[in-house]
Amino acid sequence: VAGDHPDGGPTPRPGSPGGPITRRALFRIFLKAGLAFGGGLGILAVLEQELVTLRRAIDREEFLRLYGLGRIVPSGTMTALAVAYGYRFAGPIGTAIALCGLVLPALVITVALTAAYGLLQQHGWLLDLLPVTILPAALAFIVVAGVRLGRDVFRPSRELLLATAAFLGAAVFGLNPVVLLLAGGAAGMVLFGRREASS
Amino acid sequence: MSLLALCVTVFTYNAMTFGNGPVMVPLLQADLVDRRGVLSTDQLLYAFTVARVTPGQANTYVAAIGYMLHGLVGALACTAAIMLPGYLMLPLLWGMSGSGASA
Repeated sequence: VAGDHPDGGPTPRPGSPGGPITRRALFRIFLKAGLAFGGGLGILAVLEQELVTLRRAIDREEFLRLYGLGRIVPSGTMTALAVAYGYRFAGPIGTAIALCGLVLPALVITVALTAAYGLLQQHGWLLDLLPVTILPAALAFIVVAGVRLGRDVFRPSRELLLATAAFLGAAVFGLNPVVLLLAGGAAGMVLFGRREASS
Repeated sequence: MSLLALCVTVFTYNAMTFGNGPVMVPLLQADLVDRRGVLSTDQLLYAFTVARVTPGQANTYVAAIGYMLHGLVGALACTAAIMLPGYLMLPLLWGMSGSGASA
């Protein structure tokens, strides 16, 4: 039938073919995103499928543009996206709805597991297991995060110079990370600002 | 450490850093573990790990820290504190739509 989706994509759900997204749907979408594994990219994949592919509430180009904007917001990119989509589809209340949906699963599970940690502390022998189980895992996660962040920096560049200086500051001189962050930002501004001006 | 001080700490460090979760760990370690001594390194690492292996955002480890120091209220308050900087997205959105209209 003419007028049905000629591109053969999935049929949008009744009631929301590219139209505005209701508050209930907004909450459901972000709750689903909050249940995704794989951190930010897992969440992003759910949002893309729901908002772009299934509901056609937003086109791909704008989806990517919002993602780019979200990345330059301090704190979490996905938090920023929840604010953006919440506001877009349901105004100021929508931001709270989207944020609640996004954070609820992780919050409930994290608090439950932390309460379990309190119980572990009451049973001393279980606590002895931590150094051989959870703590190495934590270190592995942190190393992986560091390698991922550093991948772009570990080549001859001025960034590498800054990173080395920061590492020395932390490892050798025991400088406070806050000081390192601010000093790194200031040094970056001077180094890269000059390069921008000279080129 | 009072709940308000904890929330201000989390909010400040979160607003200072780009990229999620792990970037804040050394800041929290220096402040909560080394300087104030309200948290042990084991506790911090445990919080970080449980948030990492659960679905959703990894930065909810601040909820675990909040829970360790102030119970359920602490968990909720810290979560709110870490989400607040996300609202900086709104001025960016308005700026984008403004420049889009003029283009």
